[in-house]
Amino acid sequence: MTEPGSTEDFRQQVRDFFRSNLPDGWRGYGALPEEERKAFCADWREIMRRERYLVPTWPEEYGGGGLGLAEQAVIQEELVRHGLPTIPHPSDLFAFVLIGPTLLHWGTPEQKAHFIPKMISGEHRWAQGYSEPGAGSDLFSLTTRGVLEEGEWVVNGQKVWQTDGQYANWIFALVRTEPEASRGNGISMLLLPVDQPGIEVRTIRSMTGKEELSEFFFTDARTAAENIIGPRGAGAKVALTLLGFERGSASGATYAGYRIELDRLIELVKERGLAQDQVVRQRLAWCHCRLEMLKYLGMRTLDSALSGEPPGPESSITKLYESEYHAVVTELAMDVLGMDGLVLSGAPGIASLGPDPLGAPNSPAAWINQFMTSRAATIYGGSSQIQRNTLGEQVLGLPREPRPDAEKPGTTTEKAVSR
Amino acid sequence: MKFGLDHDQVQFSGQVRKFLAVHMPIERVREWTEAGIGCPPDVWQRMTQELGLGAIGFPESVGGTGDRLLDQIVVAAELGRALDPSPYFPSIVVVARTVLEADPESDWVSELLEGRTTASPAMLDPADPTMPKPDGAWAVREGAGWRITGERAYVPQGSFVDSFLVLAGSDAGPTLLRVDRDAVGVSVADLPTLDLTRPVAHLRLSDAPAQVVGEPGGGLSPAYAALNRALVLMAADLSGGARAVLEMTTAYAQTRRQFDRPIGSFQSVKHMLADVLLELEAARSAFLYAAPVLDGGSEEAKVLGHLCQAVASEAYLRATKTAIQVHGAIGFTWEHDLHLYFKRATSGAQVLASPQFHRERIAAALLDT
Repeated sequence: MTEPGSTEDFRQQVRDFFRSNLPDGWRGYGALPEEERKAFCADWREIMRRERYLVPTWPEEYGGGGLGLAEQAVIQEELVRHGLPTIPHPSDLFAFVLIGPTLLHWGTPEQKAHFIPKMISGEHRWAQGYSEPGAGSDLFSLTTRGVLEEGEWVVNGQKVWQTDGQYANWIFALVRTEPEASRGNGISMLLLPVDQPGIEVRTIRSMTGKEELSEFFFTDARTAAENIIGPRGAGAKVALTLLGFERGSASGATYAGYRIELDRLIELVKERGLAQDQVVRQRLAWCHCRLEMLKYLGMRTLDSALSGEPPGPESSITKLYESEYHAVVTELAMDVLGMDGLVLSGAPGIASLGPDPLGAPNSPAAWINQFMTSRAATIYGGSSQIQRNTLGEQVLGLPREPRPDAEKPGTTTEKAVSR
Repeated sequence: MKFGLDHDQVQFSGQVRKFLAVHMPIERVREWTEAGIGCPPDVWQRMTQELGLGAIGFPESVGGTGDRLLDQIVVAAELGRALDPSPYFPSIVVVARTVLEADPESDWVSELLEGRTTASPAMLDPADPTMPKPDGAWAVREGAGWRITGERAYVPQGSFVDSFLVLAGSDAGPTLLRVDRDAVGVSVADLPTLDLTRPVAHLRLSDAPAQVVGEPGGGLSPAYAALNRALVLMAADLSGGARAVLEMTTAYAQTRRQFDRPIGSFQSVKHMLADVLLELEAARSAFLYAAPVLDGGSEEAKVLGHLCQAVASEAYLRATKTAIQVHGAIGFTWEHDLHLYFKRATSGAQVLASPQFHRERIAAALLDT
């Protein structure tokens, strides 16, 4: 475990590095015009990669920083505070947070040596292939199937709700490879190159009006036999392993991002002459309390992770807490805007996952975008209802909801559903 | 920064819980409070002298274990869990701390911590009982001593303590004074309270003799310093109660069967309990974070008491309301313990001012600067 003192030294080092690489008068990438923003993020990605700050905890041999969780937490928090992107390219989220850590845990040395450096270089851009039209919350009822034929997996089916999937050239997908096994036991995690005749990607326009989602159609899509993570049939377990390692390291950054947003809202309240409105004051103070508690929950999670303690209830709680908070705070912003919240005026918003970065406009258009995107946060990554099931069952120990078919052992109902 | 309780604190927490299970089990709490006798003095003696509860979290200079709020939080959380009807909160949390802040040399502090005497804060004006104010009581000098006339509302444990710490107006300004319950001119009217575990009384002072505590005119600042800590400790008390209720209700939902299945398997019930857990863990994080910050005395500390109290009281209310709903009709009975927690949650959300009041203080810090 890192000493607190050395973390503070490291923080100063990170700040110095950021400042020496930023132009004078830097106000955050949210303040850049849209055209410049993309170019800036690409350049910044390169600066971070060269300093090995892009994925701080990944092993040095693959181009990572070889640093600890505490240092990663510091880097991410400082990025947000400086108005710098933690995810410089949209596809990086899926590489750095999801498939990368999974590969590092489950992958063979050859897989790691092949894929990890390409995630860092940005040569491979990843999409997540979990949900299907018929498998959302009930993920392990998925029906996309894969068959091993002549040294290749041949995959047929459909995946959906890939955020920014149109930028991806690889997809990690949960695929049913063992049709005779029951539900979760018949699934494998496969990696497929996207640029092939067997895969068609279509974008989906979300309620924000942006083409920010996509769906993947697999028609005899192919990938090499070795592009499987973990053993055959272990895909459910592999997918659920994502948990552990990164636990809590993003919490400081998450808080900092929402704090920037709430401070922006406080400015909006003042600008609009509502600072003495008793209802607004109560609601704003409520949001402040929730947000500060998000910080404390995050500190608890990171602290227990750094102490090597097993995950406590706080790590399961954060997702539910954070997404529900964001829905409420953006609703308050809409009420503060009143009629002005009906017109997409001012500079547009920036983020589609989480709050807008430092420097972003405090405009009706930006708040309307956040108001809409916060609707998705209580659904993606396990809906609030699924999170409550998890808390109820895994933390409190309440019994599972009985399945109609589970009461008759030995029946094949589940498999029939899977097909 | 290490977050949360350390090994010693966790261990001490277990000791306190065991002690209270023996000396303050819920059946006794019921008997005492229903009989209107409060916490028997011999139990309070054991708590303070045998276990040394009073000294926890106070500076060594007054015989304490060290000036650490987190240590005291451990005590408050266990007492809240046990539905503590003792003078701990008024006598130790509020009076001893206020006196310590006002006059560090006063012997009264160690007497209170050791349980040799008990006291209650009488600081609320009947006309506006939201926060401590000198209004509604007036003190004048008389020779070497003082005399007070006035009224104080909602004096906790008023009938069961030896003396009162009164915040009164005076020519010098708001002043803290000690008034003995048995003194002439002191009348204490016990009030029938919703929450039997937090009895309150109405205090009338008619030219009652008093001794000044600290500097005349210097009463507000010590009272508020103690109060900020009291808010965090009350949050711990409330969270302790909420935890007990959540455990009790989870166990019930695991075993109570309807429609051939445990009711806890129904998502409608499960999700209610998950939400209680969420609120409780968040509230717990708040006071665990707040304690060292208050010890450090930074600017941030000023709103943390308000934050802790606002969130913990709402978490406890949610826990008890959910618990009654999940238990069904049995939870509405006098015989079942739930109403004791429900009433304590209700009183806990008002006794140091309401969540709305605290949110307004937070709003002022956010918006009026």
